[in-house]
Amino acid sequence: MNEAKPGNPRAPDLKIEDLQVRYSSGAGALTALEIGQLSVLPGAQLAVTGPSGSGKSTFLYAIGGLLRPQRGRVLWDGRDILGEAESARDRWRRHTVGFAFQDFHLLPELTPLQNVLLPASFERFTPDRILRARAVSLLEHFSVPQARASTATLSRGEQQRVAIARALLFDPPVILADEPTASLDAKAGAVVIDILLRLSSREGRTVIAISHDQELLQRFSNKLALDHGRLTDPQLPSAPGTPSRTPSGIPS
Amino acid sequence: MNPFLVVRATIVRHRGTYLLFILLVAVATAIGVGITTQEAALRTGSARAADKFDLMVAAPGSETDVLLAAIYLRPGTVPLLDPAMVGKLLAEPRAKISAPLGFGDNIRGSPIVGTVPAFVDYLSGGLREGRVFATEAEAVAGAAAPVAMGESFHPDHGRNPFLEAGTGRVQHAATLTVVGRMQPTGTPWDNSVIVPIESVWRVHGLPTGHAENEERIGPPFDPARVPGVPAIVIKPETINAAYGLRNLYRTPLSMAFFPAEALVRLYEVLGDIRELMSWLALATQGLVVIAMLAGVMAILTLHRRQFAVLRALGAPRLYIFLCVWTQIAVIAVAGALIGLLLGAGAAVAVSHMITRATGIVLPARIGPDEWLLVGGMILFGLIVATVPAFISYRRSVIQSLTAQ
Repeated sequence: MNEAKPGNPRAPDLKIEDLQVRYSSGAGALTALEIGQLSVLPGAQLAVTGPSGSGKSTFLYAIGGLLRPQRGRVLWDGRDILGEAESARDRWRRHTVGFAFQDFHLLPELTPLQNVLLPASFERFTPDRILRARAVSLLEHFSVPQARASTATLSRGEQQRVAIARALLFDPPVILADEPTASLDAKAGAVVIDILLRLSSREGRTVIAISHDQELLQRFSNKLALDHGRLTDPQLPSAPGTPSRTPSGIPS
Repeated sequence: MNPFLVVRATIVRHRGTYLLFILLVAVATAIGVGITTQEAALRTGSARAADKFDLMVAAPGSETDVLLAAIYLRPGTVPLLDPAMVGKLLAEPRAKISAPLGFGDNIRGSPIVGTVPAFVDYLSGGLREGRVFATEAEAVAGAAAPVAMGESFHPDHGRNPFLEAGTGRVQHAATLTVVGRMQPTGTPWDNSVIVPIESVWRVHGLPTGHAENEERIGPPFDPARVPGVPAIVIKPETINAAYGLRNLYRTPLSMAFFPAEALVRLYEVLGDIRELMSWLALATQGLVVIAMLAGVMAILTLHRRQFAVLRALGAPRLYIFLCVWTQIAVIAVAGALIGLLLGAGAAVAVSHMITRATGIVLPARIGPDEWLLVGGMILFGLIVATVPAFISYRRSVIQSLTAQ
């Protein structure tokens, strides 16, 4: 495991400038995201919340370099990711950003180890010894039983830990998580939150999660709220569906 | 890049469906391979069976009927050649062998054919055991004929007593003894019992081609004492002689033809049928590939999100293309190769059945035509596979990720 200290200079800083994303729908174009200025420091832990359709996912995919905006720039260490060619973005994403999803998106037919090593197959035919050792140690570190032949037999909490291990295979300085606890029970969710926070506080990675989970929102040190694609004050309930301050941690 | 992890996972998940696709492709390929293999085997086998029958002379009529009766020993009525012509042909100086053929009897369902000793030797290329008949009471068995060496039997009248409904079994009084066995020839003659032509003539109360009290068999014959025969096989001295004899015996009383030529005309018909069936097989293959494609597209729609996730994890577009393309390629290659085996197996089985029924050995072999067919099927699959692969390649990551 990478035991970098907080403020690890590897983590890039994130700047968003005048970003606008519009989706065309049947009724015409729909503004999904509109952010004037936003700066996220390297190694930050940022939780983004907001009601359904508020642009949270679009925000995550935009900073992950997965879409082309109508206007504006997303700068990682000054590099305009969204303006780059697709192949360059793919390579950048593979080594800079690790994604985790609500539904894990593992391949249940493969072993946990094969799942973790899957991103290696984007580059070469077989993973080298170093990557393989790294995958094994990631699974050990996350207490995933590797003897299981099939990933499908793992618990949901274990499956999300496999997915996070997969995100960490190339040791990316940025982790982007899309509702990482939404399909887990409170206990498994808490373990995942611990892991995400440690990736930031102990290893210096920038961790950005979109979530409705109250526990996650409370434990992340920085919070943002989105509504109708615009940033709002996360402390103010701005629309129906904004998380209320219940201590349960169960997603609304 | 290694798309096989994803390909394997997808195929394992939808193994029932993929198995069905592979089987569909296999059956479509097998039909095509079976048709071409069988047709080629039929051609080779029937041509080989006619090999030793250089020139045939028979009464005017259908060449095909004569071929079927004389070469393939199929029961059927062929008009008899005029005795005067027979006498002339049997004394033909430009013929190395001039063999009259006489049918009409059987033993245990196997045809008894009367001819001259020289033709037995020529047909068999030397006997496997024993010797060629030397008297009217002796016979030579075909390699697979149901009689034993040294066995004596009375011939049954008729080509196949079991087929002649309403007539009782009529056994001739004459006794024949098997004195030799031919080598396998791969022709219907393997199932026959060959006797002196004089023997056939005598049991049917016809003149035997020799003087009344003469016991001798074979040439020379007395032209005044020969009856009509269904056909005479001529082995000419030279190729020039072959054409000369053919022209000479094209008379109002006789027709002369090269069986090889007559077969070529039959093959033209056979070829037309094959052509038609090949097109049908090809159309089936095309339909199967398109059906498979539709199925794969449906499965891919289920995997849309998964591919988008792979992109989010850093997979290049080409990787997605290869995942989809490889899946279809696996189906096409596996299906076509299994189909080749199935088709060849079916052709061998059909060949065996035909050999059992007719005695004609049909060599069913996978040749360049079949490889071309299988290769074409694979190539078609690989090319067609680029369509869904390209669709997946082009699909927007963000739309697939946000689609519910």
